[in-house]
Amino acid sequence: MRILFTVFSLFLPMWGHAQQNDSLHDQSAGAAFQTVGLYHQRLYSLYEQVPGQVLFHPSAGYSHSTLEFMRASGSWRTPQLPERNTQYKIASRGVTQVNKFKLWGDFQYRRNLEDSIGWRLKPDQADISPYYLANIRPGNWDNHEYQLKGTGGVPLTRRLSLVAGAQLETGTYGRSNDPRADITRYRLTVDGGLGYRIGPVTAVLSGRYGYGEEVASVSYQNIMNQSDGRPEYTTQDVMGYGYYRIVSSKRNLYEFRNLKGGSLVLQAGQFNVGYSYQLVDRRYRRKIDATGDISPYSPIGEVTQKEHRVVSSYTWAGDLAQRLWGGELRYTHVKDFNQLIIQGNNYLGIAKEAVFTYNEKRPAWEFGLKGSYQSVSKKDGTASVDYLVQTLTLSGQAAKELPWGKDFVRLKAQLGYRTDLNSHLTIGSQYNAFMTGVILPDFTYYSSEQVEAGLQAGYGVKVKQVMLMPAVHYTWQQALSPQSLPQTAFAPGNNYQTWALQLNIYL
Amino acid sequence: MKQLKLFLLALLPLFLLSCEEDDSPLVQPTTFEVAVKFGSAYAGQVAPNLTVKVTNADSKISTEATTNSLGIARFENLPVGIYDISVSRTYTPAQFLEFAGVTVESDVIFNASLTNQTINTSSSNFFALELKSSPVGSLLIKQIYYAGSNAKDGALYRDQFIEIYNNSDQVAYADGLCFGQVYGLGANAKIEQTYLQPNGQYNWNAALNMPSGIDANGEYVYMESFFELPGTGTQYPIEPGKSIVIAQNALNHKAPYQNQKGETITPNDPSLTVDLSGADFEAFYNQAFNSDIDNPAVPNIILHQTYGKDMLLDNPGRDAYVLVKKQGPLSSLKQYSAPEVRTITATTKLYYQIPNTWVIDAVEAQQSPAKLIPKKLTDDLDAGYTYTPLGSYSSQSVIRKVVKNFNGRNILQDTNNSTNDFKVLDRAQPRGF
Repeated sequence: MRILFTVFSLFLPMWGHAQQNDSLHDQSAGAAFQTVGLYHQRLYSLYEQVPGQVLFHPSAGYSHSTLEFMRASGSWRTPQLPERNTQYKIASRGVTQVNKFKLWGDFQYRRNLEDSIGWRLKPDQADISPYYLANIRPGNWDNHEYQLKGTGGVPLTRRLSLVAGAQLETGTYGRSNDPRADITRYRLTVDGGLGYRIGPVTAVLSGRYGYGEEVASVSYQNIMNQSDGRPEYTTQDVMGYGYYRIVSSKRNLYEFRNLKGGSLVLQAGQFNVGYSYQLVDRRYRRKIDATGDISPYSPIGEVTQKEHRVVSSYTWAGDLAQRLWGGELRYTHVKDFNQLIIQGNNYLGIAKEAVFTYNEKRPAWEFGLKGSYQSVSKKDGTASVDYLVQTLTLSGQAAKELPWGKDFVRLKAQLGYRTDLNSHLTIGSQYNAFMTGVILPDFTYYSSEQVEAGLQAGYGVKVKQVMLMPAVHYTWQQALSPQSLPQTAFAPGNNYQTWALQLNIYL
Repeated sequence: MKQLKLFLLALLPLFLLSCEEDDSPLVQPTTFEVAVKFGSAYAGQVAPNLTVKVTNADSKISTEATTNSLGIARFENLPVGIYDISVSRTYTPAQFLEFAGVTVESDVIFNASLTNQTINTSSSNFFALELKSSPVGSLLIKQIYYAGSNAKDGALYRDQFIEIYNNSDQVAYADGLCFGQVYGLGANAKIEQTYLQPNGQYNWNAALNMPSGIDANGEYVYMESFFELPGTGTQYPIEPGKSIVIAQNALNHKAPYQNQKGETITPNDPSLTVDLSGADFEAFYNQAFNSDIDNPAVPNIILHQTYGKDMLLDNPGRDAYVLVKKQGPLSSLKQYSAPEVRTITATTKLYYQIPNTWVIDAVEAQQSPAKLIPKKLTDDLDAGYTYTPLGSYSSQSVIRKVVKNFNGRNILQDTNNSTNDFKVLDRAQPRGF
């Protein structure tokens, strides 16, 4: 069984929990709890973000698989976020040592049923690119996503080592109401690099290359919904943060994506720091009817996305406690070149994030503290939108295990608070439907004061060599006096609740 | 603490990196000017104090600016996009006498427009509009039902009709009145530039045998279909505030009907279609077209030029319609081939050339603001356009707005700008408002 799970995990690559949210808005990420071992979850996550880190992964071997049913609902959201969300997830992650090889892998399958999403005909609300199809009227989505990720490292000589990795993300996404979006996507990335040890310091330098494609097509069951008289159904090309146009002919959008990057990891004793940079070119095209030498793809725009990232950790022990400092910094710069009407750069997005954590594990309980600063700037030139949201979030969590016969009960509690740091929004003389329907609700939602509380209870039972832990989670987000902006077409409500049932399997 | 300092030190490089590239988008809102002047008949004088309206085709947001003493309206900080530009000026008879020194009996309306104009950083930021006028007539196209109704539940396109209204206080006569659809190009026609005007519509000056020295584009329309109402001259009076309905098929389309094959067709939802059994005229082509049924109780219109096998109106709405009062015999009218035709043979289709001075009303229809085709009508005939928002087979019609009512007689709006003059009926309604 252990072998089965290990093999399963190792062929299921992943690049790290924190990278899942490719977002200017990852401050909005739903409140998901780490299920067990606050300290180790955080420690492992800090070592599972840059490919070269696999050589220094603090675990000699672990395997964690999860079956999860999650349901979330509430009014504290934007129109682009679901009013209700039901998710089924199978995930498996692990590390193992096979002879000289250190291997890490992750697999995830998610089926996501999302209700009442308006103003986007794209899978991820959090996607950083400003180019996508959209319509005003809310609709329901059924999404299937697969992620398969893995990294391996092996020492070649006493000083020299080799790392390699790959990740594949695929998905199909469908909306069941007019306009009916049908989206398919794949993204493949490969990494490779060399490590070299000088005295107490080991450095790993690796390169990265990736490509991918996403195809979105939109159809209507009721032909009248395509007409000008039903603007809520009209498919729009969103090409910025305020600039959009009606799609008048072929309702499709192709994204061709290329990625280049590199990373450097340094390990000295218990100290680890990794820096990564990646440049993503995303080219948007519309497939048209063409014959002869004419290209079947009509250009819409190009988006250049530059990402700098640093992740760092330091561990030490004493007084029966294990301690961990963790830090992550991220800087993302997004710029477009519009090839439809504007013929120039219209959009600029900059996201900055700094996260610092302290975790401590004691024999009977453990706790973690986290402070994060996030800044998201979006500027749309022609629409005269200047949006800046800056927030500070402080949170803490603690977990304790209580013996229950041969088994045990694990309890965890979490509390967080987010506050605004001088966010501002300016819009030019004209308020269009995107501004009142998306930008104003976004500003309210992402800049308002918010508290979040959560509880988790799990029951651990050992069955032969397998630790099973069914668990239940509940989180509650509450907005504190969200500001109501004049002209807004959607006012975020007050709270959002998430609960989940899990079966965790540890080997 | 030492460890923490080391840790924070290692994170500094990214902070430095994050300070770079904090710039602004290159493209900014755009500013442009619209110059308005009168046509050559009024010595091209500038037109101050007029309200120019620009409408963004995507957001539908309209912005207005007033022309200055030089006749220039300036629009500042508007989003890049596709715009329609229009201006209108109405003179009362007294005002017109003061302006032009000419006595007229009714209001004179000047219009000018440009549609589908791309405004971005590389396009022109200056647009010129020339105001043109035409008389406001007593007989008007009141309602056009071109969309048709649902293919299964309604009557498809066989229930199309046109309604003509007497907007005056005098009896008018339908006898000899002509109407039809104007011939022209759709969007992105792939023909040589020589045969096109700057707006993408046909350049009729380039048509074979077109005389030089005339403004073939500005002073004439060319008919794709051309019909005439029968009558002796006073046989079909139209009372003030009343109208006549010209049906493709003068049948009650709400009821089952038998087509030319003898099949009985029943609309599933009669509310989607119309009862045209009381129509005043109908078109009967008698070309064995399945739905072309002759109602012997209703007079047929005279077919001078036809398009298709029945009086088929383009149901997406890409037609322009004209109402014509003959100023001479039809035999005096010339016919020309399409401009790109270089050789005329026995099978070459020729199109009647109608002087604008014969046109007493005109309406430009379009599919939608997002799918505009080059305008077929000049600004003096119709400076705007109308459309059915729900499109083909929607049961919608376009109908003139009522501006006044005198003792039960409705006065319909006629500024020679269909964008302003027309509204939409969700269900076409013969003789309705």
